[in-house]
Amino acid sequence: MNSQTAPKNESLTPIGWNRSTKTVISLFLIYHLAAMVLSPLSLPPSSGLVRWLQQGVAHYQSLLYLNHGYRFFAPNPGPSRLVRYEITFKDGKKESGIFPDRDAINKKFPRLLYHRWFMLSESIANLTTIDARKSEIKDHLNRLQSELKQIESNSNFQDQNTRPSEQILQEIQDVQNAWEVEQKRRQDLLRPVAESFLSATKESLSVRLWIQVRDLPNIDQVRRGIQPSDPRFMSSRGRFDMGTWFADGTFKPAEIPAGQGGLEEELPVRLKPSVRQGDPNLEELPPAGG
Amino acid sequence: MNILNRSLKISQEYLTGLCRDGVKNWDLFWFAPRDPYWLGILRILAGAMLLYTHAVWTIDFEGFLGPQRRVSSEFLTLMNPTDWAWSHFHWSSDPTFLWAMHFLALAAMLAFTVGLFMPWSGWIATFFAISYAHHASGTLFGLDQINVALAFCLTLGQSGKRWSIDRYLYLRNQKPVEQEKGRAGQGEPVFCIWSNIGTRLIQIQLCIIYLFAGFGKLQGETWWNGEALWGAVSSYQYQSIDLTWLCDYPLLINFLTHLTIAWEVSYLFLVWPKWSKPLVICTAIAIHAGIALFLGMMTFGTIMIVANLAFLEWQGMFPDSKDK
Repeated sequence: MNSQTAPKNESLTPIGWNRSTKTVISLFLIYHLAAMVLSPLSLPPSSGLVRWLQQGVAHYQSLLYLNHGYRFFAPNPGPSRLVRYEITFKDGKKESGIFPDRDAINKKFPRLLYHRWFMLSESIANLTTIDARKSEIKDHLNRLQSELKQIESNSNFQDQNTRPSEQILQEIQDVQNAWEVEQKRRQDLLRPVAESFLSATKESLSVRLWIQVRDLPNIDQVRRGIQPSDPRFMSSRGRFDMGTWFADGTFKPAEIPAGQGGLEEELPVRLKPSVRQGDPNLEELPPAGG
Repeated sequence: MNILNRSLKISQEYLTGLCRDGVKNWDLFWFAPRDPYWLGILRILAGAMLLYTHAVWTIDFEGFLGPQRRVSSEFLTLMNPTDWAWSHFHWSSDPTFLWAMHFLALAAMLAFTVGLFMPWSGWIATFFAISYAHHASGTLFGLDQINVALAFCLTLGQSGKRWSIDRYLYLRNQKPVEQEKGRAGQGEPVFCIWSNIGTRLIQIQLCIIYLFAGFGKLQGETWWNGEALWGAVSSYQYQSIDLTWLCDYPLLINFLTHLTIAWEVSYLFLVWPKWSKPLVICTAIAIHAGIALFLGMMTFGTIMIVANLAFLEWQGMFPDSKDK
């Protein structure tokens, strides 16, 4: 086949495997290959068949660390998500910072460690689903409420397609429960981060955390002389309050903007960070030299 | 009726031939013995990266891996659908134990790199690479995935039989005549089926990575309109060398974007034929060198180049391979 693969009549070739050995190894290889392929294939959107097959190799994937999606820079290279923190000390002083700290590369640690910090902030942002999921849940709840109101106002004219109000109420309850799970997940993921800041000094009273989006510059902005490092790409509109953790172990959830009532109060306002050109954040940027 | 019989016969012959050829090609692809010469070199390169990756953890071991670390254990639960994502970090939270295991891991990875006590050092290094990856969920990226895959495949592929201290010690302890035989490869298991299986698994791993990386990108608008590369090079958090001067060459940005996606999606098909393999591998090296130099991921870019070297195997490239 090639220079490294021995031809069959080569005297150096050891005795080959018998058919039984080859069959056993082949079965192992087929299973291993299935585990390798089904992992990226089973990421959403995926079919029921793939998800069903994936269950058959899930343990093996976990065992050998084969469960990856390989979606590098996909579907689009997007903005970076960082974690901003503000520590309040007992004497009232405050100290703030951000990680990963781009300016500390090769000063405090090698680049690889910087990437560990970077992946940590990205993972937190991914799993706390700071924008799309909130919006999804909010829209879903609004739809359910409208449906419920419609049923209540037209109680005498229900057709066959109208769902019973109990079913809608149950769905509202389910969505709210899912949101609470989401909130708990956020707290669980961020608590160790908060505690690491709080335990750094005995003088710290509390730490407040945000997910901070750093938007990408578009070509026109760079042509105008605005650099990707410009702090205006980390605008307040791309900042998401994650809550405040106190040294005594208590937690204060993120503040909700006033003026909203009822169910809306339980969900933060959606602040959509834009990845693409035409981002409203960029309107804040004056022309170069302006 | 006659036509039906003939059709059935043709179909039967076709299916029989398909199965026979399939079995034959499967046998050739997986079970042809291979000299682990090249795998030995890959082991040194991949082992060095594995060692470096884990040595860097030492700088902030407590912060990322210790009992009071800043990384939530929830990541493990959320990122692994099963509870089989084991780790030695779950056995004990005693710092002395964890530090002892850390240095044991580094020692195993060093032994794997230089080819000492193979394959056991390789399996121990793989064990620790997986164990760290499971525990450090939430802080990992492509580097860790390929590190584990290479450690597994290179150990399975008996890469310790070449370019290793084990090999050196073995030959040194032979009588002069046997040494000569050993160098000539006679009487020695120079060709090994496991080496072929290890090489094939690395090659297929790369095909899967690029295929799904490409498929994932095809879902994004910027990979179609040619702007995606700009999104990568203009990211302040990634960039190590400023490439934003590309803003004056939008057509070049478009071309590089299209080249990247075309290469990823076609890798699976074009990396095997002899005529296209050099082009595909050279493109892989160029793209990963770019990621290493310009996007600040020196480790990831380098290890992907190393992995791609598993395809280098054409005639005459290693005329003295039996003598090492």
